[in-house]
This record gives sequence, structure tokens and C-alpha cells, in this order.
Amino acid sequence: MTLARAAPSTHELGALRAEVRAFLAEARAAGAFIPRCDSWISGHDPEFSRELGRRGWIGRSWPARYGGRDRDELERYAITEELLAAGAPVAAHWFAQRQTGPLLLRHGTEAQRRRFLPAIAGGDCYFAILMSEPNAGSDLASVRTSAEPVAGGWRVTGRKVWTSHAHKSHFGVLLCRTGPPGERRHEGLSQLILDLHAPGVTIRPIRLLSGESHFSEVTLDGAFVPDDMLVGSIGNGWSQVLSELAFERSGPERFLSTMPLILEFIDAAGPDCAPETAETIGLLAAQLWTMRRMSMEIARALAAGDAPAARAALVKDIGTRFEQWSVEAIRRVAGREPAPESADRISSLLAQAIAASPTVTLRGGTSEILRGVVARELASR
Amino acid sequence: MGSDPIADTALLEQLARDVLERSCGAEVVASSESAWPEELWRALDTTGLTRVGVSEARGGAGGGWAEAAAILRTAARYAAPVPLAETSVLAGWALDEAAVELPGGPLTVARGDLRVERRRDGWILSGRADRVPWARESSWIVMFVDRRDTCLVAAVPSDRPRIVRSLNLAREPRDTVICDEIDLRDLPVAELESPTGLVSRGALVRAIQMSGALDRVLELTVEYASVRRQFGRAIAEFQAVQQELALLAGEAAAARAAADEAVSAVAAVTGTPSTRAAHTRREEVAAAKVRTGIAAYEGARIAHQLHGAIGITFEHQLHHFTSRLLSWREEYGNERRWATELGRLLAAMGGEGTWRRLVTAGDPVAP
Repeated sequence: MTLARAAPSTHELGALRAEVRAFLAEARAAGAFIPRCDSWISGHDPEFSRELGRRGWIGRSWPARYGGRDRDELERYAITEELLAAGAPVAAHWFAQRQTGPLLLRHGTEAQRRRFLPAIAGGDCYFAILMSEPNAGSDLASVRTSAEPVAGGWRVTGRKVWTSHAHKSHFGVLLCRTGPPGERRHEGLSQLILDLHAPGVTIRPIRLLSGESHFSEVTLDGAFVPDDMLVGSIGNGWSQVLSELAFERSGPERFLSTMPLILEFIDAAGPDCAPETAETIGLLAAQLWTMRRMSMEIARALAAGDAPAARAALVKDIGTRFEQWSVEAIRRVAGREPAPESADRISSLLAQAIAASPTVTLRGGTSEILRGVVARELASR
Repeated sequence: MGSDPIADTALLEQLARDVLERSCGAEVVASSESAWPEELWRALDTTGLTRVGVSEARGGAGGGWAEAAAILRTAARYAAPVPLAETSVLAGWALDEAAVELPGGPLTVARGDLRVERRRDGWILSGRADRVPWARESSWIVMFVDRRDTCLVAAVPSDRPRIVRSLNLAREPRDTVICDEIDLRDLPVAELESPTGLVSRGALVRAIQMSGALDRVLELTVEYASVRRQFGRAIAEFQAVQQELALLAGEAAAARAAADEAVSAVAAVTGTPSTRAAHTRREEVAAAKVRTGIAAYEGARIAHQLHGAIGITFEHQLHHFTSRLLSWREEYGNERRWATELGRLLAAMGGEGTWRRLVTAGDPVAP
């Protein structure tokens, strides 16, 4: 990740984008997917992920020896944007690519990298992020799931919630307690790779207000994790998670979740649209351009090995508020009722976006917590 | 991830900072309504900072949008009460474009209800232009006369028109310039392609300035919240205050990103940097003016809320920045005006076209 590479030229990037768009148009025409809002969390399609993997579009910036393509981070960013804007089903591999890959590249053992990264990049191996607990949501330091040392590894006990697609994933990165919390409560946390099919792991999908069940609850009842599945070092979990959160919070999915709706709306508006419609489109675009720049600046910092936690938090706060606002702004002028499964594209996309709206400022850290992170950084300047 | 011309302006920014730190203290800003800050102007002028963005061939200091933006943003951090942008990238640009050597002294631009008529061997200029920045202090005024498809630019010494004083919210001069049959025969006159160039450039300038002022507003507010104690602790320790501080930081960061994005896009227009670039990249300029305008209001509102009563006194410097923010968001088109124009441009491209346009900001284009 930190290797210096020549940045791709505008021309190369344009060609890559064109390739991705052509593939997406073809897949869409063939009925492989219907564009939807929030597709990075709602659109789970292993076959689609494997196809992306075959094309070298997952983990593209990772070293070739780990299944990557050694390409600049900007290429990964461009591919990600195209997939999100098209509303393509990318949830299956999303979390593994977004944070488990970079986590292993930074802190994983050579054996872990060789085992997992090529499978992730191939679109074959999916990871769940096991952080939140029933009593540790925004307050991650109060995690209680514990790992008890036994011969050859650990036995883990506890309960994790709001885990995206645990029931459809192969492994999970488990944040758990391996020692006492210490005075600042950040000590004694570690990350383990958990086989989600191991005995002692029970997964129950959680049905959401939209009727979907992409989150789940994972109960751990003495499940065994072998020694070599420790990520990084014992007790270093907190700082590892902080840099992971920067990846989790700053990507384009924090402001492009409603892009399929926005683009459909612009398409329907046409050049002679009403002034309110034109103004709404202008307000949407002005904010999109701004957030894109902010998010890309963080992607650049992450690629250089930094962990800009506060800036990532700030971008997520602004980006997710924008997502909520975008739905309202379009609804006000679109002149149609949001209706699930409607044949009218804008009606159905509006319905999806409205149902997902309350979650966008919660998942990945609530807005209030993010602002606390930002404020603490401001105070330390 | 790609080379960005605006990243290489640190030295220039430092130079501007040094000059302003010495010559643009809070007292200079506070007294600027009654006294033209000659010393500040001279300090900026002798270092060439008043002429960045204008080609050296016409008496400018060279440099393009990236360099000019670094200086304008820095000057806005000090609320520098002088027509820096007007002299360099607005009037200076037009004269450069018209192949006219820059006259000395502060310059400004006027556009409004101006008209010319041909009389015998030359043009006669009449009409009026409102809200002309620092007309009263300028040596020359560059008049923009809209014609059917083109725009006539004339440089006029400021003692020729009648000048009626007026102010903006920040009490910066925004005068009315009245031209009563000014004979342009011996004055530089040129025809420019588009009358809209000035509006785009003006909008970009104000967006850059707003991002600089917001940076300073954030700095002042963070500082105040860490020093001011109530209920036995610094107010920055209250979560309610922290939430607002973070929102303010968000607006400042967004304004900066929006302005930077437009500057990168305009700077990436190849060919002569100071000509039609802002018009070529009209979408990015529109986006910058819209987003910084939104941030101006939110930022000023939060800063005043957190400063409490002291922030509404004349004595405290906060208002120098917040009142400029609230003026600059109006000048050269407010949020609604630019959002509507941007929306129309994008709607004509359709959904797919809009997406392509969004992701190619900053790519090099020919003018």
C-alpha cells in the first residue's frame, strides 16, 4: 500500500472507467442486476463479486504477490465510484476489500496475507466486521466479548451485533478483550480472525424496517480461534481498529449511496426542467464535487500509510448528512410518491433511499460520535 | 494521486502571510472604512502580490489561478481591506486579455447598465454600474460593457466618472460609478469574446476568499472555546459545544475543498492560464460558489453562537470575517443563481453525462 507508484494518467483512468461502465451496462442489459440505492450494503451477489475479481477490479492497489494488481489507489477509487454510481451489487466482497485487506496489509502475518488476500481479491472470500456489541455500539472501548487463552489458541465468548452479512460471509475480524481495559479503557483489546462456520458460532439475521436482513447478530459460545489467527499484536486492537475506521469512514460509499436515485432524477429532469428542479440538481452536484475531493484526499493519505481518523470522521458526517438531504431534496421536487417495487424508477429508488436513510448516519459510527472525534482533534491542534 | 498545481504554492502563501502578518493587523481592518490602508497596499504591491495572475509581459507578476488563489485565500484570512482580487485577477486579467499594460495603483472592475455609442472616430461611454469594489480608491476602473455577443472593455481613470459611495455588509466600499459621456478615444478599449467571463472569475474569486475567511473563523472559534470558561471549565469541554465546533470544521473543510476543486479545474485548462479558463470550467466554478456560499452562512452562524455576546461587539474581530462571508456569498451570484445554472447545464447532459462530468473535474482540457 505504501509503495510509490506512478499515478495513472487521466487518459488511463478514463479508459479504465470506460471499461467498467461498458461492463456494467452489459451486465445491466443482461439482467444481472437492477441498479439500487445503498447497493454496497444491500446488493449481495457472490457471482457478481467473482466476476469483478476475475477482471482484477477488487484489491487492485494491493501487491501482485497477494492477488492484487499493484495499481495506484486512484484506480481502485475510480472503480469503486463507478460501481456505486451504477448501483451494482457489490456488498459480498465490500467489507473484505475495504477494510480487511488494508488491515492485513498493515498488520497481518505473511501467512495470513497469502491465505486471505488473493481469495478476497478474487471475489471469493467474504469478511464480516465484528466490532459492535449490544452494549458497545458507538462506545467501542466497552467491548466485552472475551478471548480466553487455551492450548493452541483462544476460546471466544460474547455477542456481536449489526454485523453486515455475517450469515453470508466466511470469516469475521473479531474485536475482543484479551486483557484488562486499563485506565484509558483502550488497552487489552485484540483482533482475531474468526471462522464463521466454526462450532460455537451462531448467526441470526436481523430483519430491518425495510424488510431486508443484511445485518446480523453473532453469538460466540466458546468458539475456538487458533493462535495464528491473531491480527497484529496482542493488546494493540484499539489502535489497529482506529486506522481501520479511517478506511471504513472515508470512502465514496459515504456520499454515493443515493447516486442511482440522483442520476435517474437528473435523467428524468431534462434540459427544460423547472427552476426548482435545476436548483436542486445544482445543489446536489455542488456538494458531490466537494465531498469527492475531500474523500479522495483521505484516500491519498491512507495510501501513503497515514490514519487520518478525524478527517475521515468529518467526511463521513458531511457525506451521510448529504445522503439524507439528497433524498429529501429530490422527493420535494420529483412530484411522485415513493413506492417500493414500483415500475416507476424514481418512485422505487426513492422508497429504497427513504428506508435506508436513518441508517446512514448510524452505521460506521454515529454522527454525534464522529463530531466528538473531530472536536478532540481540533482541541489538540 | 496525480499532480495538483495548487499543492505547489506553499512558498507564495508564506510570503503573503509574512506581509499580512506585519501590515494587516486587526486595527488596520477595523479602521479601514475611514482610512485607506496605504501602508498595507504598498507592502502588497512592492512584493508583487497585487499582480499575481497577470502575465509579466503586461506588467504583472506572472502565475496562474493556483498562485492567485493561494494569495487571495491568505489575504481573506486577514480580512485584508484592499482590492487585491480586483486589481489582479479581475481588472488585471481583462487588461491582459485586451493587451493593455497594467497601470499603477489599485484597480477595479465595473459592470452594469453601461453602454457605448460610436461618435465620429471613437467610443463614448455612458450609464452606471453599481456595487463597484473600491471605486473611490482605484486609480483606474475597467468598465465592462455588454454587447450582443461580445463585451467591450475600457480602462478609464477613476477621476472621469462620478463616484457615489456605498458599502457592503462588511462595510467594504461597493460604490456606484456614473459615466456621463466619457470619451474613450485616448483610452485603452478592447473587445472580449464573452461578457460572462467576468462573472465566472468573480464567483471563483469570492469562493476562494470565503474559504480563507472560514479557515480563520474556525481558528478564532476553536481558540475562544478553549479559553473561555463557564461552569468551571472551558466551554470546548461541553459536548454541545463540541458538536457545533465539529460542524463548523466540516463547513470550513468543505468550503476549502470546493474552492480547491474549482481552482484545480480552472488551472488544468491548458493554454494561456488567465484567459477563459474560469468560463471553460463554469460547472466547477458554479459548484464552488454554491458550496462556499452555504458554508459561509453555516460557518458564520456557528462561530457567532459559540463566541456568545463578545462576538457581536465591534471591538472583537470576529465580525470582520463573518460579515465578509455574508457579503461575498451574494457577490457575483448567490447560491440559488449558480445552483440553477449548474443544474441546467447538468440536466442537459442527462444522468450519465452528469456522472461523467462529475468525475472528470480537474482533468486537463483545452480552453
